[in-house]
Parts: sequence; structure tokens; C-alpha cells
Amino acid sequence: MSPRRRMAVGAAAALALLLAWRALEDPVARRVRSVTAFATRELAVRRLGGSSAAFDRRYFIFLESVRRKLPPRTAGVVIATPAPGDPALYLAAYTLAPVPVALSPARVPREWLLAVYGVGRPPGWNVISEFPGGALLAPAPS
Amino acid sequence: MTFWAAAAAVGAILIAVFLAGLAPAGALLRSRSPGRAERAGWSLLLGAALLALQTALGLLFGFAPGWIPFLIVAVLAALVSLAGRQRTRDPEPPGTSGDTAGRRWRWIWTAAVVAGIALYSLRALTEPMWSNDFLAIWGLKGKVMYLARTFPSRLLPDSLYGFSHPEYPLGLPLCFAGLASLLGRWDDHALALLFPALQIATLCVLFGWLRRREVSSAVAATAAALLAWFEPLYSGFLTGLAEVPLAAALLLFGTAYSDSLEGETRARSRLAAASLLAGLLKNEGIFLAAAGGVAAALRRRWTIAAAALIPAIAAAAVGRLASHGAPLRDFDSVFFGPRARELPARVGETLRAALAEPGLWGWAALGCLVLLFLAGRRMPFADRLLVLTGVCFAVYLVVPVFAVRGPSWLVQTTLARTSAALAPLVAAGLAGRFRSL
Repeated sequence: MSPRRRMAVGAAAALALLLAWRALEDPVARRVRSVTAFATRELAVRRLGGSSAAFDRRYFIFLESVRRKLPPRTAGVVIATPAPGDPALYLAAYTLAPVPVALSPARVPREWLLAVYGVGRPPGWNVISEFPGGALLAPAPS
Repeated sequence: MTFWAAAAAVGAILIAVFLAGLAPAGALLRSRSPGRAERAGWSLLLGAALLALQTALGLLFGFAPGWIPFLIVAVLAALVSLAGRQRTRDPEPPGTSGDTAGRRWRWIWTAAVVAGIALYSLRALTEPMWSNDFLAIWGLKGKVMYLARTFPSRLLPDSLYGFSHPEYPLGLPLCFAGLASLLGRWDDHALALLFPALQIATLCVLFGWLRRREVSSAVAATAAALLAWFEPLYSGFLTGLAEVPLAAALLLFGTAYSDSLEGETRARSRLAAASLLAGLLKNEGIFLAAAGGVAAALRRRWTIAAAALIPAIAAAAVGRLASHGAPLRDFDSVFFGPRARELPARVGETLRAALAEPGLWGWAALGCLVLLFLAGRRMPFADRLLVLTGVCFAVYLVVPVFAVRGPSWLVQTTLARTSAALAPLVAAGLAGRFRSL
């Protein structure tokens, strides 16, 4: 075997070992168990058990409840949460899409609804629906 | 619907998408044995492009995307392809009839490739697509287009949705929306099957192109097996993001570019198609098209430069129209003017962050790639791919200098994954250097 060929075989073998080490570091058995355990459950339950909701699973239950209670042709939803942040914003925007979402803005746009995560109910708003983790509210008629 | 039923349905849809791409791929590549795998890879990617096209047409002209528009688009594409195929009857490209020594090992390489695909499928399908960038950008736009039947820029106010990067190309979200329109529902778990399918297509193109370029089946299969196990690209995190489809498009572009410079007539059509795909997927695709176009122009290969550049520029222009001219949000041109004095410090910060990025594993893997490069021989058809990769990587290193949130932030959040999308090009370039070994 020529030196070039030896070097090529050695480097390819080392690279294969590095790639295998990295790929098998992943918890394969846990993934298989997770897929088989969740496969027959509804899609929202699979997301609830997944990584995107891991930062606050109760928050995802709240968002999913908001989604199911939204009246047709809702202009937008403001989410009031005690812990606003990028993960909370992205999960809300995606879960409620295509309805536009804003997270705790200074002012609620006209005709938008308010979804409160937690127990507080701001004055000037009527509760449309209460569910685990919060409530959906509409502006009270002035 | 259970995950298994939805995944089976998406699998069947992906077979239909593959079949829709067969005729266009046949017009771009001969079906001769060594290139058959390459043609299969092209078929899936072109089929996915047709799927995205029917979705875009539906949104533009107000009809519901679905099976009938998809079939119409596929039949029209097939008719155009058949007409094009009859016009260009170029001589058979070179190819290898097969090496007996390599065949003995074929089952081992095949098993390694299949294992790599199975592991990635498991990573991709463990749970609904979950990365922040899927939720905030790619999946969000696909879901909006499927459920609201409109372009995201028409519905989501820019003032609130800057995080969704309205300026990014819409190719992948259109593909998601197209798949959902054929499935009849938005199922972000089953739709993830698209990504292992794209991995398979990439591996097919890599193997087929190397075989067509007379690289031994052992070397071609080794390259495919190593790429199949490349977790930095084929990861659960990148499932749902544009890197996996972009990696496939970059490989199509690089191989077609090299073939064009070798004088193959149909390669220019492939180059134009790949340039369009790359430009529709991610801004990095436009960088590669620009690199190829400029390199061809420097050699005065004007038609190749045009085929490389014009479709990607057209894709970028369409993207600008669809996003109503949204600016690039991560970058600021102020560093060319009033804050130019900060540039040297920012270059230093970028380089420091980039050097810290690979870690021990990354440096060891890069060391192996350097040894493989040194062990191979100079092969212009393969070296071109490595030059394109080098140019793209250099651009990825320069771009963070202008990042609004600082060079370190952009390097840490994007450099590894955008570079990982260059892996198929590197695999093709390095393996090609072993043609005569």
C-alpha cells in the first residue's frame, strides 16, 4: 500500500470513528422509547412532551388552550406573561399562527384579544374563557 | 391521526414529489448507470421545487394549493422537460462500468449509509420540529402560508415580527406549506420526514456524481457513508431549518459548476436550476452562486457565469418582492461609514470567536480532512468544489464583522451550522481527489 493510500485510509478511519462517537453520544435508546410512547398521542401532546415546551410546559398548555378558544377571524392576540422572553414569544407566535401575536407590548392594538398567563385579570377587560393557566379576554365595551 | 399514519402519508407524498421530479431530472441528466443515483437525488429536489412552485402560484393567484395544482405543475414540467430533452442530444458522459474490488465491500458501505440515514431519521422524528428558528422563522412562515393562504409579509406586521426575518427566502416555508396542502393538515411532526428524504437525495447526488466522474465505488461509498453520519448537519436541532436543504442545493450547484467547466452541455442547465434552488433557500446560497459566477467570469466563461448568477439573483429579487423589501436585520452598514474605526477590533473578535468554536472534536475532525486533502491528488474537477467551499467559508468569517448584536454572537449562533451545510461539497471535493489513487 502506498504512503498516500495509507494516509487516506488512516484519516478516513479516524474521521469515521469521530463521527460515530459523536452520533452515538446521542441517547438513541431514549429517542426510540420517546417515539414509541408518544406516537399514538395527539400532535399537541407530542409537542408538550418535546424540547420546544421544555422551558415551561404549563405555558404551552396555556397557549394550546388559547388557540382552541380563539373566536374565528381574531385580529391578533396579546400574551401577558410574567416571564416574557424569546422562547415564550417564538412558541406563542408559532402555536397561534396565523393569528398575529405580541408579547406584553406597551399598548394592546385595537380589536386584539388579551390572553393572560397566570391569575391576574386586568380592569377594562371581559373574560371570554378561563382555562388551565390563564384566561382569554376581550376589551369591555366602553 | 397517529404519528405513524401521518408519517406514512407524508412518505407517500414524498414518493409522489420524487416522481414529479423524474422528468425534469431526466432532461438535465442522462440515466446511464453511474449517474442513476445522481438523477434520483435531483428528482426529489426538483420535485420539491415544483411543490413549492405550485404553493407560490396558489398564494399569488388565490387558488388553494393541493393535489390538482401540483399535478398540473408536474405535467407541465414533464412536457417542457421532454421537449428540452429532444432538443439537446449531447454525447454520453464518461462513466465507470464498475470495479469488482469495490463491489466486495459494497454491502459494508451500504450498511453504513443506511445506519447513518436511520440514525438521522430517529433524531429528526423523535418529536415535532422544535428549534427556535423553526418556530420563529421557517415553520412559522410555512404554517401561516398553509393556514392563511397568504404570504407572511401580508399578514404579520413587520414591527412585531422582525424576529421571523421577513427578508429570508421563502423556498423552505413554501415547501412545508406545499407538503401540508397535499397532506390536508399542518402536522409539524410528520413533515419532518422531508429532512431524512433530503439527506438521502444529497447522498444519492454525491455518490452518483463521484461515480459518473470515474471515482471508484469504494471511495464514493465511503464519502457517502461519512456524510450520512455527519451529525453537525444531520441533527435534531437543524431539522426544520434551511441548512439541510441548502446543503443539498450547494452540492447540486458545485457539481453542476464543475461539470460546466468540463464542457458538458447539459451541465449549464443543471447549474441554472441549482443556482435558482440555492437562491430560493437561503442567502448563503446566493453567496455560493456569486462565487461561482465571478470565478467563471474571470475565466471569460460568460454563459457559465450567467447560468450561475442570474437564477440566484432572480430568486433574491423575487424574495425581496415577497418580503416588501425588508432589510437584512442582523447586519448594519454603519461599519462601512461612521463606525469604520471599530472594524479591526471586530475582525479580531470574529477570528477569536471562530477559533474557539470547533472545540476538541471539531479540530480533530478538521485535522482528518486536512490529511485526506494531502493524501489525494490534484484533480481540477474536484478541487473546484473545494475552492468554492473555501470562498463561502471566508465569506461566513467576514460577515459577522458587521453583525448588529456583535461578531461573537453571530459566530456562536450561526458559523458552525452554516459551515456544516458545506459538508457535502467538501465530501465531493475530497473524494474526487482520489480518482486516480
